[in-house]
Amino acid sequence: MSAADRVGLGWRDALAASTYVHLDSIDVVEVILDDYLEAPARELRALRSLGREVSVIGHGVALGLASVSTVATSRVERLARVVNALEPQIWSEHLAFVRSGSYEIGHLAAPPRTGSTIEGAVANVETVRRIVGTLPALENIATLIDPPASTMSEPAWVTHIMAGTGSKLLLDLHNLYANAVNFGHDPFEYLCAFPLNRVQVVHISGGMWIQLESTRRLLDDHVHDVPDIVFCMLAWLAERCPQPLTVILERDGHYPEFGALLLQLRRAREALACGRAKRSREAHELAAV
Amino acid sequence: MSSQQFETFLARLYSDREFRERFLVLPEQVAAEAGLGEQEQRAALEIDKPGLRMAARSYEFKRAGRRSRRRLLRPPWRGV
Repeated sequence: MSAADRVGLGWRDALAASTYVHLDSIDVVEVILDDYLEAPARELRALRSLGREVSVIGHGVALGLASVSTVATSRVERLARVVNALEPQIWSEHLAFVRSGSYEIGHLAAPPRTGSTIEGAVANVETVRRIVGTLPALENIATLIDPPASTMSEPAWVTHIMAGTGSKLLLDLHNLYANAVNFGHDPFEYLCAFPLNRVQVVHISGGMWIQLESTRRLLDDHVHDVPDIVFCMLAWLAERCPQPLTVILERDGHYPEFGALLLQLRRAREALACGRAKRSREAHELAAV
Repeated sequence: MSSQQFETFLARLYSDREFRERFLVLPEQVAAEAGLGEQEQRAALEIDKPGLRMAARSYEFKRAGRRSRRRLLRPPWRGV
């Protein structure tokens, strides 16, 4: 693990006390910004004080930036209030659409991967940058449905958006793994096709297999432990990315003993260390040739 | 391709159970009624149906979870 790599945990009410007690094992916490949209100034000040104890990054979940629809400035302004109060080191949003017309999907949906949604995402991210004052890192999402009307692969679509926005990538390895296995790709080849030079933050989490008739798919649900393959993917990533990585474990329910979460953080550190060591060995071997 | 109309059609498929069930029975009719262009209608007819059902259930579950959290005065919507 490089000195600049960090490993941390999503800040959740149910885990707050234990997280606070174990800050010696946690480099960074990720706060869900949308949880504080209605928060009074007093609560935002309290949240900001968390930043004096541990590095804080922010995560938005409901702007719906990857869409041909224009993001509502009122939504962005509400989020900007939280970002500006918290002053996170990094903040992020998803490459998803969450509503259209009068229909609220209620969660993150993959839009058609087309030139139009690339243009829409680039324009929406620019609106966000103008209002919030900083660019969000952008996260790849998991999808159970192959988005209809798509004209390009997910890695190509993400690469175009990264180039158009200038944003960093929040690479969710379990989302990537789920999309790879659900739609017939090798997870490591799929990973390799993403713009790895843009990765700044990494999410790790777990999921479960679900089945409908003869179709079986992996659901990214954040209520299961991180599978071994995601740690392997993290090591693989650390071997290939020279830049520092901030790794966040996401857990949204069915909380185990906190020790089990700390163990997963330790495994993430080991994966990073393994990848970094391999990278360093290869660099030395090359230099010796 | 990928108009706002098509995104709205998808958002409705993902969130309106009655509309979705009708589409799964009468895809051509429902796609035509939605006013989609020719290419978009074709894309709608080729939709990944098991994926649509699974995704819609997952979204429904998330919406229900969000409502129950609101009742408990907990924060809305945990991220993915």
